[in-house]
Amino acid sequence: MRNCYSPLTLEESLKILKEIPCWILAGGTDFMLKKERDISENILYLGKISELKYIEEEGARIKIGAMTTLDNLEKSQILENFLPLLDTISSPGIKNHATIGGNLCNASPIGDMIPPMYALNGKVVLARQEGKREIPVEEFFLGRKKTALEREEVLTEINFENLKEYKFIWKKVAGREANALSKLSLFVAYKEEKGKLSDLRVAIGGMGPEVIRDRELEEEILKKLSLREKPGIEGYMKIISPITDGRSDAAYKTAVFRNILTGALSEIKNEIGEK
Amino acid sequence: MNLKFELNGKIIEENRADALDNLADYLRGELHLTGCKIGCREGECGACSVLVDDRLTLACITPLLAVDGKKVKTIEGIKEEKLFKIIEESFLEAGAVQCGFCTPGMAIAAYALLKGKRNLSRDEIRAGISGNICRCTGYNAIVEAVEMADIKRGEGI
Repeated sequence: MRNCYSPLTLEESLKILKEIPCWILAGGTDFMLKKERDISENILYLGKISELKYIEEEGARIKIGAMTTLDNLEKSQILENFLPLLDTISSPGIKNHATIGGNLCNASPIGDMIPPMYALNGKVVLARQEGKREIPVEEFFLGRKKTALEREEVLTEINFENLKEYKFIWKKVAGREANALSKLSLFVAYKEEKGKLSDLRVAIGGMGPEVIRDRELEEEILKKLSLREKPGIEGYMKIISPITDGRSDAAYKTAVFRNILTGALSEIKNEIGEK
Repeated sequence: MNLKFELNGKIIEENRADALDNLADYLRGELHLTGCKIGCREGECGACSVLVDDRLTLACITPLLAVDGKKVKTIEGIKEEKLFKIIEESFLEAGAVQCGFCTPGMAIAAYALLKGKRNLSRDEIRAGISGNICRCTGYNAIVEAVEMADIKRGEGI
């Protein structure tokens, strides 16, 4: 029979992990659906650790504690920019319990918090008893459901650029508007002032084992848009690798992806063209 | 694992062999609080909605260890409250109940929503019950019922 641990501090949880291999449990909203639940594995539940619940602006970055719930994110003034995105995720009963740390560690290619973290150069903080390390999200996600989190580590924080002067475009394709998992998603962040586009970032969810971001392609698109030209997206069509799954098939995702990316870039082109 | 929590105002102490047992099966199967319905068992339908520390919670995906030290309320625990009576009345008046299976969960979601805010817009009501599925009504009558309850309750409730 498994043992369940419910420590009150991070220090205590790292001590337990050092000695005992555990499945780390955050809000449980995904875990409770899994077959893994039936495996007799020890559980380390982080729900009582209040020091992992925070949203702070520090210099040019926003820091969020791993056990901060989606409901906390939605109610935070610091994250007002993200409301259109948070609005499309899950339902109130889930948001009250689902955490950002859980969403990240779950490492689903369609986790809705992940594309923005790629676009905003997010970094995760991984703690172990001996100390902590901070790595970019690109190094954290190693494939479908795979992360760089080691057995003795807990993800304690995600931090990312606080781009107040940027605009965000979020396109989520799902079976319906409310409480649905994404089939694919697109997060675009761009900086535009008086018709001049100075930065553009594109992060794509659900079209490969990990979220896709390609800085060279972003640079090409930025150049084209700055010249008021229609940017090509063939570069992206080459690097996507969607799979057919229970929610939709690869051909559908490819066609829809082409449409939403083209649509998002036209939105930006039209916006700067009007100025 | 030893767990201690409040359920509908009573302190419960449990020593569970598996603290990952889900709250919905526990409430229904062991305590016979059958107002908590099980529809999908995957957090999609909202029929098992309860309140944990007054926050809307899906019991089917809540492990028992997550309610340790907390206050759990089921529909049985709020049915004598004034706000609940108003919700009940409004659901009847608006014709918001047909087969009734989603109704307890819907009423709990409405209760959490009304507790959190006053003068709700229709969009806010729709968002508030967006995790609760109803196969009969088409939702409009339910939205009307929640709006009605919001107007009817007056100050202090």
